[in-house]
Amino acid sequence: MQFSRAVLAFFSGSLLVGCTGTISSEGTDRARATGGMASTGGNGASGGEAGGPGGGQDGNRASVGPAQWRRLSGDQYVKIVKDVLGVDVSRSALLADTKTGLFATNISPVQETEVDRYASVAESVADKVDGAAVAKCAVANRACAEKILNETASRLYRRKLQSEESKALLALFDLGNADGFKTGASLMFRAMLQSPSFLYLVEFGESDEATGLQKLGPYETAARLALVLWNTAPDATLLGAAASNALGTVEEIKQQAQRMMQDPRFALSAADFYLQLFRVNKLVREGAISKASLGGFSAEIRQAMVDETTAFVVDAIRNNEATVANLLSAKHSFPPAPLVTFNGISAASVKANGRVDFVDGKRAGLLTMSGFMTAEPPTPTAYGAVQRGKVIREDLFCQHMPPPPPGLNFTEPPDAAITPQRELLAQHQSDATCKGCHRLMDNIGFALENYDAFGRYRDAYPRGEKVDPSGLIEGETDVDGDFTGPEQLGAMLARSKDVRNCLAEQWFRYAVGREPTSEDDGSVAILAKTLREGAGDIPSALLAFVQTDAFRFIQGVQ
Amino acid sequence: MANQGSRRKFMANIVGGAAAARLMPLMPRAAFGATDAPKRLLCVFSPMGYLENFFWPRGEGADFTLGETQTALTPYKDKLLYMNGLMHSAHNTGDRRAERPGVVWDNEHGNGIAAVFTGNMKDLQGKYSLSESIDQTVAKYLYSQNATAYKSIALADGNGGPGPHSSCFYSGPGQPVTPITLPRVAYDTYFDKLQITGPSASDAAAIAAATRRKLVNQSVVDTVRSEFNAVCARLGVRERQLCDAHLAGLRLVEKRVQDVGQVNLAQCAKPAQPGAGNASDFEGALRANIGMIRAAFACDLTRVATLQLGNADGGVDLAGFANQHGTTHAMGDNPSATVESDHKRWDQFYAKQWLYLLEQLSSVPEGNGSMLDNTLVLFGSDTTTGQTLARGAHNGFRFPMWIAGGGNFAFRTGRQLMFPVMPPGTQATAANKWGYDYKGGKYLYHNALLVSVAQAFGMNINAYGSHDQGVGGVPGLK
Repeated sequence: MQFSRAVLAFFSGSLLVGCTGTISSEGTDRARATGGMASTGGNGASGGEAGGPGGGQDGNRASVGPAQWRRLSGDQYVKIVKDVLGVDVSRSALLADTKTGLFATNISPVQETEVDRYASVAESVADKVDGAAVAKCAVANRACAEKILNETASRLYRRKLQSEESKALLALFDLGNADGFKTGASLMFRAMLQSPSFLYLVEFGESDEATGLQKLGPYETAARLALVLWNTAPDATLLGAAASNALGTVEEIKQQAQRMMQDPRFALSAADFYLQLFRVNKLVREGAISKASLGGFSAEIRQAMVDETTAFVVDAIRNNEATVANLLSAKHSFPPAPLVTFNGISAASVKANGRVDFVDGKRAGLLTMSGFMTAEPPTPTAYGAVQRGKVIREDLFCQHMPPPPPGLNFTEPPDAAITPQRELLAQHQSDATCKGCHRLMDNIGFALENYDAFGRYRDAYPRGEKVDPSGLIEGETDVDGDFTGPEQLGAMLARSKDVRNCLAEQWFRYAVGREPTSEDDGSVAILAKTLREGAGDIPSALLAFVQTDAFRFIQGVQ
Repeated sequence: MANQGSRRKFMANIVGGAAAARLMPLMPRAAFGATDAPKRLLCVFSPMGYLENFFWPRGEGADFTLGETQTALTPYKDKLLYMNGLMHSAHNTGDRRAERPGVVWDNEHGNGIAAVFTGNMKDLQGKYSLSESIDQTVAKYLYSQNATAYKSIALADGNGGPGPHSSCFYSGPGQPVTPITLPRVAYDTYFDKLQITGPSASDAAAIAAATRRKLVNQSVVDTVRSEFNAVCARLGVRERQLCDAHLAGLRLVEKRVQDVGQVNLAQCAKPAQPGAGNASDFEGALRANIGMIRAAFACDLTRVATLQLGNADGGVDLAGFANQHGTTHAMGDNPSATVESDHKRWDQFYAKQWLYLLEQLSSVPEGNGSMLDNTLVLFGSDTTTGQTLARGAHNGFRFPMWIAGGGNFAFRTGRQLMFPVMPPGTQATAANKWGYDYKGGKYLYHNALLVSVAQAFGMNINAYGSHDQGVGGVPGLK
């Protein structure tokens, strides 16, 4: 683990660095460390250790960071209940998720109110489930209740139920069955939907002598595969593979993953990653984007912005174009009808399948779509370029930007909102106390000034000044240099290895639900390496990742 | 007062049988009187403070007139208590930073919102407050004396989800309380299944139905708990804590299902059921939330509630109003008339909402007074917008943390107390604007007020949060 020191330096250092030349280097050290490991570390995911346990990514021993118990995200809850029980639950019936970085992971302790919500939502879902139909029973009777336990419950629990569990649930059925099958079945569903095996990712693993770690059991592996690749419950095939103990080797995991990636659920799940990464999902979370004072925008437009991002990623997955390069620079999109009007796109340019090609260079990849440009900044601010630049620095280069020093005068000059950002933020470029950090942020944000607060393309500011979208990336990234406008920014990000290393960390957070530690370096490196190769194919990277230690093992009970 | 719809449903579930022994607890009881009304706490957060010159009353003691933007509250003037001159203790000032080298400091909003009810600063990542908030401190204490159905309830609008700039209430270090952000969800949680028993509750068949429901509910809880117990037992220390947190929540669920969610207080009535969708009408949603807090207090479901408006990022977001955050930032030394008037509109908007809140609490009679007299309402914000000191943007001077109600047990209201803001003759300058020497005791930190609040509920607390000056509570409140 020759790189662990650099990585640790990043974790402790990233919290306190300033921008005087140290921040960016430490940030990229981390990315380069993980990258470097991949190239020097020998056997990777597909490195032929399929035959047995052990064989970590560095070729010596398996290693993985501390396990993290987590609850389903609100979206996962809603999806699973819909997929398995056919019942619609409003996302807002559950409390807001807590996050790891940008991703809903719910690793913090549950709150009393939340336990209450789970109880209450379980009751209302249970009242609506048609148990006999869900389990495809010919007759609604006790045998049907047993069928529910054998089949439906296994999907909710993501494993076969233990006999004591089935017995207890069947006793509930009997209690309610006095009032009829529906009541009996609904009591079972009520309990199942509050079960730790449904609400939490319960993982114990099986002791693995070769590594000293716990290797995930077949059902636990199936559950992870389903949540990472589909964002929902495993299907019967996956559970079948687990039941026949056919998810033990990397080869078996790989086969299942390949099958799952052909399913439409994978494309939607991949889109979900980007909706969270680029904050686009906030657009439909009430209150998260506060722009009413700018005139507001309708719920229909908000939803259309989310749908555009989703459609773009789904299309890319379907056509094997889901590469980092393409997602960050593609000059086409799928704006739904309300957004076509909102963005002033000519209806004639919309193809039959909804695709619009931006031959004018006005859009290039996810960053320039309405969703991200509206979500960032989330509130009307006169300093939008700072915010957009900061987000790109932090979330695509994984370089932490410290807050401004104390004692600043934040008073906005008159007409700040309509003044060109470059003029408004001129001091950031010259003042010694500002420029260390601000040049790293503002000069990226300026390149996105062609988009107003709702992501509408503009050539000029409200008073008529022409937008100057020239930008500069500097500060020890691998793509440092001048550029002009969103199209060139997209192209630079698309080819940056640092961005891909950073995306590897982001995918790790999304998939594992916690911050990577030095013990995860090998696994992150594999993800990063796959993303750095060629155009950086996302499905290939995920396929490699599900074979890593971080995906297959957990630490034992501490 | 029973909800008719709910009682019909209740009666429809009758399965027969009688349980005379259970008649007693179902008998309706009188309203709370002068002596047995519970002490309650309501903490209210609104972002971006107020424009100070137009917020603070003129005058001192009982002889004062309300600030220009707050005149809507005049009918309740004798229920209000202003402490003019407190300093927000964990603001983004130089001395705060010096205390914790290496800390990632959030901006003034982020630090402000985390510290307003906790009196403590943020964790090393600049995310969440390092300690619990006063509502939870009081809630735990009151619950230990009298276990209401809920220890506390937390309501907010859609801006109130957990986050470094949106969490102001904490159940423990780094543990923000996640509020319910949709009125309908709050209704479903607290009132949908609540059985308010009226005279007909003595009906034997109704009691049998309730008994049956209790048995069923308990069986479900038992099943769930046994699964949790089996899982928890196998977890390591850290994860065991997460599992235990869930079991603790389950105990509260259980307590409620044992009571079959019944309340028999005469003044208890369900609030109107809010619409199911997202509330685009901010004011309507706020009023629905206020209605639910009033009902939850009247039904004695809880004695502590929190209400959060907006957050410390964008403030409150309302069509027809200038962007709130931008407006506060635009307040320079010589703000334009437009900016000042925009800011005043916001502050008047708040006053209008507070008026509604006070009206609602006053509308429930308790003893010779009303629910308001038995409810200490503590208003707080992340910052203030200065005009006399540290002008312009947000700061912690003359921090607008103020009180309404609670006169029956807490403080003598109908007054403005003045606390020295700065030494005589000191002028605000660019140099001393952000870094006064607080250790010289020139400013009374708002921690002292949090201490006073805890003491008002009978708690033996003399310090609160991390910047407590050791002065105990705010002098002169009683």
